Amino acid sequence: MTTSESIGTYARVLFELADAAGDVDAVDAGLRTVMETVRASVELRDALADSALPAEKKREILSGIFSTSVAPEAVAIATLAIERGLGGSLGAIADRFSEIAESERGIVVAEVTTAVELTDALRGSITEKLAAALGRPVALRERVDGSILGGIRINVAGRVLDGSLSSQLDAMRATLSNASQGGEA
Amino acid sequence: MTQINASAIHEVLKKQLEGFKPEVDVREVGTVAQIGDGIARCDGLKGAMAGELLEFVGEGGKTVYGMALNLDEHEVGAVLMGDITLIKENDTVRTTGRVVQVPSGRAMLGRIVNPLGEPIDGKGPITAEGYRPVEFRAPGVIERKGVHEPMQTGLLAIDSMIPVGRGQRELIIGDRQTGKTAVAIDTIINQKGNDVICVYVAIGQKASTVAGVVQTLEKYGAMDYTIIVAANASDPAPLQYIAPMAGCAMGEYFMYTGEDGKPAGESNPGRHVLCVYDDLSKQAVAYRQMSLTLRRPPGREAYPGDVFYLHSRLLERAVKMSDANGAGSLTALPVIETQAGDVSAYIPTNVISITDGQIFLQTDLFFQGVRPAVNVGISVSRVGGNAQIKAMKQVAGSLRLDLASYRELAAFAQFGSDLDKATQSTLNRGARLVELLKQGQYVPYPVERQVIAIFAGTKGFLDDIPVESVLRFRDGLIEFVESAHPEISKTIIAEQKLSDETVEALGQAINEFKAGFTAEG
Repeated sequence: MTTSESIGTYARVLFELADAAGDVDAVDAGLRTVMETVRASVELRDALADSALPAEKKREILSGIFSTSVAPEAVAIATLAIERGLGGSLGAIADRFSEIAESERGIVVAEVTTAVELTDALRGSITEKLAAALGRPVALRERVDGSILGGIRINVAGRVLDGSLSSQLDAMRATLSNASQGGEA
Repeated sequence: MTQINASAIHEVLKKQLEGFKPEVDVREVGTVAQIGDGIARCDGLKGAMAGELLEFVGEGGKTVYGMALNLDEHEVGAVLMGDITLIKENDTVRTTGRVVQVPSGRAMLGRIVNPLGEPIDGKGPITAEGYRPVEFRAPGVIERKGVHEPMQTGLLAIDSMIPVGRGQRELIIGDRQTGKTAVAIDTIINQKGNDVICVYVAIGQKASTVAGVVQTLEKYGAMDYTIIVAANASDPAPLQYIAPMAGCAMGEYFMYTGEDGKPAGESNPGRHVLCVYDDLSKQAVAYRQMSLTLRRPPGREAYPGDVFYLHSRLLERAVKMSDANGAGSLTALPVIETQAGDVSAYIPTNVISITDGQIFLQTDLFFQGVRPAVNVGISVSRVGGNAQIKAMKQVAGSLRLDLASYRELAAFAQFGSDLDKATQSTLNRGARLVELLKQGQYVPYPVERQVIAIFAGTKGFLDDIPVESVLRFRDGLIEFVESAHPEISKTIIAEQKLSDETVEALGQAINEFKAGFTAEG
């Protein structure tokens, strides 16, 4: 089996587990948490890739870190993938999982970041507009982040629609500092 | 104290921001999966283009640019072109929708820039007229025409026997410390007043060496028509890798654009450009480093398989455009450093086979005092012959043969002293010709002076001058002809050939000078 096929298999199994447990979103978020944590820590990455370390130990390490905060299905699949030497493919598994979840449930998850909580009216209109643009029903995953100052940032289907105040200020700053650098030919 | 009111400040700021239009940008985003050795592997970015500029957003919103090189099934491998320490795993990376490009325009002349076109000479920002992609398709057959105009290097040994034409690619190859850069710099200095734009690309050199080159060019007034692109030894490998392409793109602007800044065409001639890539072996090493860290499979000498394509792509951009396309030209003078004279190493053989000839510089000649240390036996120019002016062809025709037979006999002559008359005279002639072709640094000769000097040598006027006085004789003769018989130089320039009358007049002038010279000596 090629890596690409095993990634598909892991993602498919995880989706079926998550679907049975009835919380696909939590598993999706959990898998991403595991992936990001493993990537961000060199010590953890090295420990998990160390062939001298018994599988038992690796399992203990992972459950020690993630058991309280992450959906158990996600931890189980991530552990299995790491044990089988697919630790580097966690990102691909997470991507494949999202794809399967989208096609199975027929909805697209859009991550919406705003500076303040969304009102119901706003939520409704965003969902409606996104659904019209993508041609599929949309589920919102909301995040509040004061650092974008205002406006909205929507992360959907691998793209970012950035209408945040902070990035517009950044663009303005760039324009000012490059004022004399000339235009496009 | 003068009062400046708030509205005035407001006005100025507003004016500066005139071009700014707030817009919601839609871009593809991904995350950095792994980073190290200046290479980032990124998830997402399914739509990234090969060679696309990627924007990495690091801690505190600082952005670092990178270039997408490996487009794999699940990830994109990119090289970073800035401070690699700012970027960590899980940082976001965005596509920009444009391939790597550099600013170009007339304002670049006289400036020192890095391979991204940012000024590094402390003379303030550069007002570019536009951007050009670093990787640009070379013109096809229909858009070109044959090389036919000379690109004078100002060096006797080269212009007479290894002539370079505008639009040619002539390799300068040799060991370290043989004067490769000197040949290139002399050529740039010789373009003064010839309406040729020069681009000097320094790759992987010490910053102090580059500073020395700049100083020399400034001293001889050559910076006015020159752009220096510097990727120093301390710059990251990706910058050294794109430097020659960036320099070429900056030069191409002038070739594709007329003097008025509008696209070149039949009625709007393009300019002539000379690009010196000093040196491509360092670029190949930088590319090797990038390829190995990107985990591309190594080939011969651990260079990646496409290092030939890298160089052929770059040098194919040297061109002589057809009249319909403005008849501009871009001449490339790539430089390759060999190790202990080994031209059969991978990169030297590659570049030798790509270029239209090579100027071979040798250490032993250099230490024998033959400077420029050109080995005329193995140096060739495959297309430059058509670019030589007729007068030069007339006088230099026998030069190569004379020197070849001299070298052949010189080896034998070391054994015995009993030589017949013919051998003796060949040796005499050869020794004087070798002496005649010696030339100091930064003193390029215009073509008419070269013709006079070589005429004296090949027609036997030097045969009775002592070898050690040949250089003095040559310089004195040129000065004498210019002052006492200025019409000879003028005729050579005007007619581009030596008519029977000119030959006679020149012969007489040389005899006239010789009479005075022998008496003097």
